[in-house]
Amino acid sequence: MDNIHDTTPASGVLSQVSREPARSGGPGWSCFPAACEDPKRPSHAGFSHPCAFSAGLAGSVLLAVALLACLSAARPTVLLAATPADLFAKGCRYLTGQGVPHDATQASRLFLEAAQAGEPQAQYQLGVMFSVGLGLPKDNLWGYFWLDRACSGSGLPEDALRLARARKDALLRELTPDQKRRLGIRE
Amino acid sequence: MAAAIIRLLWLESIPLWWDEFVTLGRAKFALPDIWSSLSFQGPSDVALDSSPPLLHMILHMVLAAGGASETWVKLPSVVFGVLTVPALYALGSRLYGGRSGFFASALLAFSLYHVHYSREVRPYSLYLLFGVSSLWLLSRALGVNRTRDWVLFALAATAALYSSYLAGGSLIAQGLFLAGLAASRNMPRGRILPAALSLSGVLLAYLPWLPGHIFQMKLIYAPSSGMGLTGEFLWRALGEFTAGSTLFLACAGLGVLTGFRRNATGTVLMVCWLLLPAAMPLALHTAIAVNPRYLINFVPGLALLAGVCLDGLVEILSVKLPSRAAAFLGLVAVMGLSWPSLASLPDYYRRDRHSVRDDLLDIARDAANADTVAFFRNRHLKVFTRWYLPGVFKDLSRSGDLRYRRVLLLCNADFVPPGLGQPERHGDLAAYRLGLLNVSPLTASGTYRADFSTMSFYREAAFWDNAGPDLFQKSLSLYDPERPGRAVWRFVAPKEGFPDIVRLHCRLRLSHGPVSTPPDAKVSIVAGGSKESLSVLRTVTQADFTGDDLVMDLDIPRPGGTELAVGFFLDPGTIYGAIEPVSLALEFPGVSPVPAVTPEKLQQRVDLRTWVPGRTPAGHTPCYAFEPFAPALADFRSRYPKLAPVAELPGLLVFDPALADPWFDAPGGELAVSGKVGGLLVKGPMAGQIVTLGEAAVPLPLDAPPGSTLALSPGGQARLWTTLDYSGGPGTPFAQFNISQVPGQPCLTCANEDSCFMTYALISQAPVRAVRVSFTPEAYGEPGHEKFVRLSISTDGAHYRILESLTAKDSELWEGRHRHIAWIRLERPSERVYLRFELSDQRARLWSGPEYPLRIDAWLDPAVRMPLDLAAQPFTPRSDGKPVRGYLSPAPLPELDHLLAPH
Repeated sequence: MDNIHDTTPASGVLSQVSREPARSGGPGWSCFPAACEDPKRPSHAGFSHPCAFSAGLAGSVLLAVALLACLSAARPTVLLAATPADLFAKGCRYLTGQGVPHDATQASRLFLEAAQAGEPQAQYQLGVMFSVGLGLPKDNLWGYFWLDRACSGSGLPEDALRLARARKDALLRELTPDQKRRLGIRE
Repeated sequence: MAAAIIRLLWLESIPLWWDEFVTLGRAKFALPDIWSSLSFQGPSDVALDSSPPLLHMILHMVLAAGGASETWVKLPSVVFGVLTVPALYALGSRLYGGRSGFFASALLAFSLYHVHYSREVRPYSLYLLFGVSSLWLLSRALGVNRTRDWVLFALAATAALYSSYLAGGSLIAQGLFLAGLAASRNMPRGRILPAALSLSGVLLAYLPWLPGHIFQMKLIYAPSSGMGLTGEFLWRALGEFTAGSTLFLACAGLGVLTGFRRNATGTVLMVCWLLLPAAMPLALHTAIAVNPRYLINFVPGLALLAGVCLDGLVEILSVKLPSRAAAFLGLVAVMGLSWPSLASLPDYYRRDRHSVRDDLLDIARDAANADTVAFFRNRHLKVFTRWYLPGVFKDLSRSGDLRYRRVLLLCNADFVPPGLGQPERHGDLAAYRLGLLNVSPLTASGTYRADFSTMSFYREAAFWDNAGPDLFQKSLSLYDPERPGRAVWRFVAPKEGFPDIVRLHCRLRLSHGPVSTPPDAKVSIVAGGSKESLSVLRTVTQADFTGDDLVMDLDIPRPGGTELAVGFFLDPGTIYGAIEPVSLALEFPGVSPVPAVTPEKLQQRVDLRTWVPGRTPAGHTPCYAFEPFAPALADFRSRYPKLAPVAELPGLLVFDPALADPWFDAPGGELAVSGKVGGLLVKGPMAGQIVTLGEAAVPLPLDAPPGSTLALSPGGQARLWTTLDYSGGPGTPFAQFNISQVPGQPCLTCANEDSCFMTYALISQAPVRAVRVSFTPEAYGEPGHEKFVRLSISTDGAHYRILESLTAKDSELWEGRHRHIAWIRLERPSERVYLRFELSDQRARLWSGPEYPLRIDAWLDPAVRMPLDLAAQPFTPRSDGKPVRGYLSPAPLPELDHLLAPH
């Protein structure tokens, strides 16, 4: 296609996925019920599964499997169907083009589904993709929103958490007062 | 050049409107018929056309030379509009000098009002060309007094008169001006005679049309009504002519003063030419309300006066500037004055809304095996359908061999024909699917009644040519109103023969205009032993009517043979008005009937088969005949419980299951296919399934949103069209985020004050070559905030390009809600196309539904081979994925892309 916008990919979005190590000793998957119930946060009537998955050992195992799936995309693994981690792993493959065509829109769709089900890695990826407009409309508010979600849980690997906080802080500086009001951020 | 470009851009994007069809309706006649038809508003598909015949005659030749495309028929108006620009330059140069003429012609070139009328198949741009030319030639003739100039002036003025009735006022203005000059002794003696001769020549040349002119004026004359010209209207009209530019108007006002200073005589001529036609609506008593276009002289007139003013201003401001620099300065001022027009042009070109063209496109796509189209009135819809769908459908204008026809009866949505059930809705149109199986000859028994409020005529009449029922007027009318028509019924004699006298009752209706000239239409009631030996029983003319209705009782002498034929011969005449039969009744007292039509006869008209329980017909499907209590009928009834028979004869019921549902299910029951396959249509959720039809496997080459139809041709070319409807929510697009439905409305918005989006995917093994999206966005112009609806496209999933958008800000109004069209041809066909709608927040909306259809069209490269012959039959259609519905077209699928508005 000619004349398509040259949207600069997020620095590190693509590489970030493959660089992030699988965590040993998974975190407790706290999902984001607290965030959902926070009245200051934007409502999300468009989400169909705000808190579908909860916590624990199973989650951490799945996360590890998902991350492994990202790293070994050349031979895609058949995982348990439709778990957030599966969706995230599949999204990673589309984002990095491993075994499937490069497709940020496919990836974002899978990340959205996973993020709405509470997958913190997917929330982080969505935050980045929204903030740079990769496969999604560029939107700082939704970028901040998802990064905040990712950071507020405890499921994000440490490296990713650090990056997420840095991106979140950077985004915070770009938010308009109105966006901050809508996000419930007090100046 | 600029004038031509501005007038030609996107010429084909806006469909013709009814008044343009009115012009074309008469233009298609033979040249002599155009003259007679227009002079007395003689019978035509299109009703009143208050115009002299010059444009129609030009268009007649254009149609003969080129064909019936919208661009082609608009081109003459464009040419006239463009030529008016140099004509105004010549006039301005003559009266006020070259620079004034240049500025005036530039102002006219950029005038939105003039651009609009230069793109319409109406006579206004032709009239302005000759109106302005006649002024220029008159001023030249007065100046140089050459015979050639006086002759040319007379020719131009005559052409203006033959272009539009508006020219009458202009000619009177020119005549009064010349008379005033002569009376005030400002005209040299040597010019009085040629001027008088020229004007006389014009009047003489117009004499042949005078009866037509008088007829037309009588037709619109209404002694108690004025045209409603008020000061407020005049002000609004001036605003329209100048695209709302008060500065333009002020310049034109100053131009009058400047003009008087430079050329008082010429300015008087201009002012007369402007004001007298404007005064005419005050004097005339007609049923027609005044319209700004009746004051169209102001468009070039204001441009000329404003041009003089600009020239004067430039002269004052640029005393020391070289002449080219001064001209450039003036041109900048022209651009400034024309800015409101120029700024409106993008919106003007893109103005678009749902039209009959779109509805006819839908109807043709969904017609399936309906091969014939009929209309509730043989008027507007017939004209539109003939124009937009030539060759796609047959019509019912002739009986032909009386073969069975599957008909789509098209009606305006607010007209409900009795007894035809629920229609298929296509925008503003309703389509009723019915089968017409002719059962003539009829049995002569008891009383036979025919009225024309239903389609029974086509089932019962034995012969018709250019005649059929008008369901709205409930009368037998002409299919093409300018040609004569015939309708004949046949009755088979009973065992003991016909009675001595067969009594015939009929009612006829006269419709006529308010003019005293009586219509010369007539109807002959005919009868005979066969349809070839008919003799006239009685001819009815306007003179037979005392009111609007005439009831007639006639006795038909005993026919000699075994058959009686009765009918009407309709003659449309040449003058506005018609005589039409409303009912027909024939009495056959005391006779014992014999069955007139047999299954063998029917078999010649329709493919009648034996019903096989459990088998679904597809392709070129037959009809099925049953005896009333046959067990197979019960099985058929259980399969098609609501289907009415297409014929009910003694001991025989005939059904056409294709009327109930021409589509088959895959997977579904056993399918019987007759004949070759010209194309396959598939509806339903498509996700790369393989549909198996007997031994042929047809892989559906793509993933497409629900609501999609895929058309596959035997050559492998594929077209996809999708109509999205949000009345039940967003459905299941490829991806959506934060989207919600506006309660009770077929439109989507964001769930809250944050942005939202929705993405549709076309993922196809057959690469997508082009995509067209037609959508209706709406946004509220909130102070200080931009609200938007945006459509973007991506072929790699990462990079999106904005195709079309609506943005509103500060207006404090809901803006948009009119159709936007994005059409992109991909340089490299792509196997993935994402279409993303982004909405700023809940103050932005995306509409759908019948009123604001949201459509996606895609053109795919050939990838799938369609089998031409499905030999292994019967078979069970299968789908290896989600179920779909299919239709096997016996004929090639029609090419309908020309009906898509090309923005």
